[in-house]
Amino acid sequence: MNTKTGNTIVICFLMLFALVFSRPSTGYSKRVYDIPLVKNEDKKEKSLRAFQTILEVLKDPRCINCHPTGDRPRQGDDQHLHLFNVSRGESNNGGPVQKCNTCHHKENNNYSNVPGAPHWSLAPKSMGWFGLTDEEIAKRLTDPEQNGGRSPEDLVHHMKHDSLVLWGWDPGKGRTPVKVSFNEFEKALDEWLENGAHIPTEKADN
Amino acid sequence: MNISFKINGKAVTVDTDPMTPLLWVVRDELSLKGTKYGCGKALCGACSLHVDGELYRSCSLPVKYAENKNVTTIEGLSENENELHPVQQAWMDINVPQCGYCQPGFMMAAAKLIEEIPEPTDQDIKENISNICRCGTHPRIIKAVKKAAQLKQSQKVQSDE
Repeated sequence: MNTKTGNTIVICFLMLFALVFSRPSTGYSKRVYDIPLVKNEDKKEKSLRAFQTILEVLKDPRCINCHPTGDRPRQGDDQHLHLFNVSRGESNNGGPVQKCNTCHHKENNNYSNVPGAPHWSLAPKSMGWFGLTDEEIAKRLTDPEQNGGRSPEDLVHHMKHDSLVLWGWDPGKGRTPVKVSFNEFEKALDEWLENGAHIPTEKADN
Repeated sequence: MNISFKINGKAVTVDTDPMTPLLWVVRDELSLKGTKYGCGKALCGACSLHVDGELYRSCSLPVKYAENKNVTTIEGLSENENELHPVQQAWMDINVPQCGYCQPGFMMAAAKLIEEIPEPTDQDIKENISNICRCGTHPRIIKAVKKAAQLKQSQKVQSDE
């Protein structure tokens, strides 16, 4: 080892020593906790931004028409009340005489053009969204008391895999599919969940 | 594809595309013409029939869903040839039909309604039967459904005695 190399090593050692022992303990703590806080803010923003895409899907006529807050579903892109006095009934699948599957079955019907998918029915009243604000929809969607005990992970699984949800992208002739693409929706669901499953809240709640 | 089911108590097998509307099978394959083709879009109810006691619009019911089930059409509504179903009797008593085309569908819906709601009000009938009659016989239909419900109740009382 020559003298120059030896001096360099000593200087580095002294600098390292100074760096470690000269930092006040409060400063050290602040630095440790500041970094994740900044990251959490980023994550929350990402999650909320992803949720806006999810909301676009939830509020699409293909989805929200069968999520009424009352007892009658809606139809069409103009979201008129379902014809034929169709009502929720006790089990969310129609009245005692005319049930959803009086006309709707497990697949779109190419003869009558009546839409269909497995377990075609109304969402429970606690999951009614029609006419609610974004914040109210978000609260209902994520509240296990109202969403059938579903965690955010369960919700994501439901929205990615449930055949009735997926019908929204294959609604049959004459019906507009959900406007957000399914790939975009899947990506938004992942981002929402991975970044903390945050939802928008009413200003009064902040 | 062979699909087997019972229609009005009789076992049948048809060789057809499983997505064929049951209405087409009933009318064209089995020659039971009482069930009517109205709109073909599950809007009017002229094609209403029962499968395992539930009401269906058969123009929108693929025949595959009838497999191994019991289908009842207007021809089989009465349990035996010597006795009319209360709905049939009431329809005659009130003289409901005008042109008559839509009436089998109404009668199948009415039969299901009085099973589920033994003493229906006007409101019950309006809320639960959404069939369409272009002749406008709805006021007589409401009267007839109520009469059918009464007849069914009295039949039940007689059979209980």
